[in-house]
Amino acid sequence: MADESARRAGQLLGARRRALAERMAAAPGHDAAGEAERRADAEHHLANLAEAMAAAQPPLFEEYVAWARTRLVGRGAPDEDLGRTLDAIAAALRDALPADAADVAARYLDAGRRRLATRPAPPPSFLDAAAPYGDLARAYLEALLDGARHEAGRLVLDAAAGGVPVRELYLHVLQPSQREIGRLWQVNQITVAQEHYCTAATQVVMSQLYPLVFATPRIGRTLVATCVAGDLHEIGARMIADFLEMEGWDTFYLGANAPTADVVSTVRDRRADLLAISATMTAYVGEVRALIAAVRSDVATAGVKILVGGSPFNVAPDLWRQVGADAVAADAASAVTAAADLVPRTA
Amino acid sequence: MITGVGAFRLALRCDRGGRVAEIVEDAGGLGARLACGESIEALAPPEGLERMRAFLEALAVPPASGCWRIDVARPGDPAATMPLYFTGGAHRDGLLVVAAESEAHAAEALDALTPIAAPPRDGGVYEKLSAMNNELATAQRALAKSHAELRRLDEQKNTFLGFAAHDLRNPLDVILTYSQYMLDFAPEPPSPKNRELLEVIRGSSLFMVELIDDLLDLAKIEAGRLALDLVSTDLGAVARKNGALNGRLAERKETRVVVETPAEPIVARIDPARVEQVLNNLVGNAVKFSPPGSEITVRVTRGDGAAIVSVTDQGPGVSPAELDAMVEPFATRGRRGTGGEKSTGLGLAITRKVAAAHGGRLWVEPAPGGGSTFHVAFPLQGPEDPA
Repeated sequence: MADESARRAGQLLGARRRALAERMAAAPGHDAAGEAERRADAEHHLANLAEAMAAAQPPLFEEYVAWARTRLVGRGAPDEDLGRTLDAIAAALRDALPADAADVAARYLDAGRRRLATRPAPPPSFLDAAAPYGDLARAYLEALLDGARHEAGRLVLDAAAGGVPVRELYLHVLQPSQREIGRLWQVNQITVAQEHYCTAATQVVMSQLYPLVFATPRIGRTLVATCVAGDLHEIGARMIADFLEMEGWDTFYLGANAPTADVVSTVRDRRADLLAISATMTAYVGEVRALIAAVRSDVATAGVKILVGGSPFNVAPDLWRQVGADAVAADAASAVTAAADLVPRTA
Repeated sequence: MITGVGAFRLALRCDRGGRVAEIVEDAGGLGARLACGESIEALAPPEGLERMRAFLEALAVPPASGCWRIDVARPGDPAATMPLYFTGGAHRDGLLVVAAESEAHAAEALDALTPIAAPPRDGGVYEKLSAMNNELATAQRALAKSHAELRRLDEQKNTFLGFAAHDLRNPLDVILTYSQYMLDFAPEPPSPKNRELLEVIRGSSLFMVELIDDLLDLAKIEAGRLALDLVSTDLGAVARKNGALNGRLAERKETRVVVETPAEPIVARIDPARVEQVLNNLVGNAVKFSPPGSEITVRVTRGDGAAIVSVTDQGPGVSPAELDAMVEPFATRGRRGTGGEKSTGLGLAITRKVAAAHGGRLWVEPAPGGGSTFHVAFPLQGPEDPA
């Protein structure tokens, strides 16, 4: 079966990606100075290719290629660089993988090249002045980009004090601002330092809103929310935990980089009704699958309902089923609906 | 690259169960068919499986597995086998497994690879800062959640306390009334022994009423339901009236209450009933803990935008540090007065909270010649009036 051979090929590649990236970065014809950066880029390409193959989902790799092109062009790389890199990867995989696996990889790389040939445009801004609280979102982001986090925080807290519900602030101010910050980094308009500053500031604002978040009467349902190992983009998962907290759930947020054993033991000890797992990039899909397998294989946690979310699940609509989840949610608001469907109120 | 000689070398990062996470090195194609998540048992032909499992078990016991000779399928000729030497050890949160054609090569490869097979170092300083920030934010979220939960429990406790105290109060009133009736109005007066017993019943019931009233007050205050009825009031007049009432109580213990107020009224925005409660607590305590023959002075003065009530006794004395402990509810429970009087242990807690609700405060100073002075300041403007 084609899907099965793609999965197998993806797993073969996954086991070799770092050694391959090292070999590609050290190949003759490059200057030594950029080796570390080339290695990091190559490993990123290979990780995304391997995970797309392991999920038997070519669109995941195509979407990654479009994303990577924007990122590389934004950094000033010639437009044809990524195409050459994809060719080099195909050649390296011919040597490194069994022929059948290399054939599968070549098909995924071809799909990536075809997407590249369309010269995918950078994503448009996530901020829209006509959207609800669009002006507030714009003012918040501008204050953050000016390094004025207190001013940015005051805008949001004043709105909350003026009666704007926390849910609206999350969905219409913090979420689009964070997405826009990611986009600005991708197109090289802000530095990685600015990106981290803005994210930290948003986390502070969220924590200042906590007195409003933790104020709902309990309804006797429990959520454990987590990111997968390695994924530091954790605001989405935190928002889902906060949204369900506001619905009266007892929520336990494990944060980024929670070891699998900790997730399993928390689900068990808290007798969780629902486990929400976030993965923001294709490269982390394998971790989601492994985490779900670990939860399902422990008799104490096998029955917990599992909700997944994050960009790869939006790109590949049936990916959630394939990784073993019970449902998928595109954002915090739809997570609330999905959670209510998965764990109906008993009385 | 591994420095040893030999055509076949394999290095793998695995989880603790021996499932492959990464092929770090594969010279000779030994691991050509190994995939992520697959057990390294797949390297062994059926006859070598048991030995491979024993090796994996040995790896689970640190510090070192030793070197194991295991026959594996020969690359390119799966029907044939070749001997390979396996060694390894714990590495990060999993295992590092190395195989080579000789024991020496395997050991050398393990030494060389242990530092190299570390996680990629591209997780630079920003990632580390992010991780720390995430941890802090997560800890802060857990704290905020537990704070909210504790506050909820505290409110529940206050509600429960209020209900319990209220429900206890009614039967106590019945006991008080009937014991009073039997003492004073029964057609047949009680015998001296029974009178003594009835006095004990009445005295104990009165103490319980006092305790319950204090508990109800405290529950009300802690639940934020202490509504002050602020009126512009001459604090001197309140003190004089209270002094006269408490003076009678003091006489029974051969002590005297002296009230000193200035000729001019000192008007403050206060709740007179609550301020009277404060005076009852402070003067009541002073009477309770003063030796017979001593004098208790109540002074009202003006100072620093506040009207200050000060109660001085000639009792054993209380230091400011002791007061900090005494204002906790029930801290002075069980402490007996000089006449054996009981204490609910709530009076000072209520006094402090009533003072705070007025925007004022309670403090203590040693009195000259022994004893203490308890001061309570009430702002002249009241807590919510514009300055």
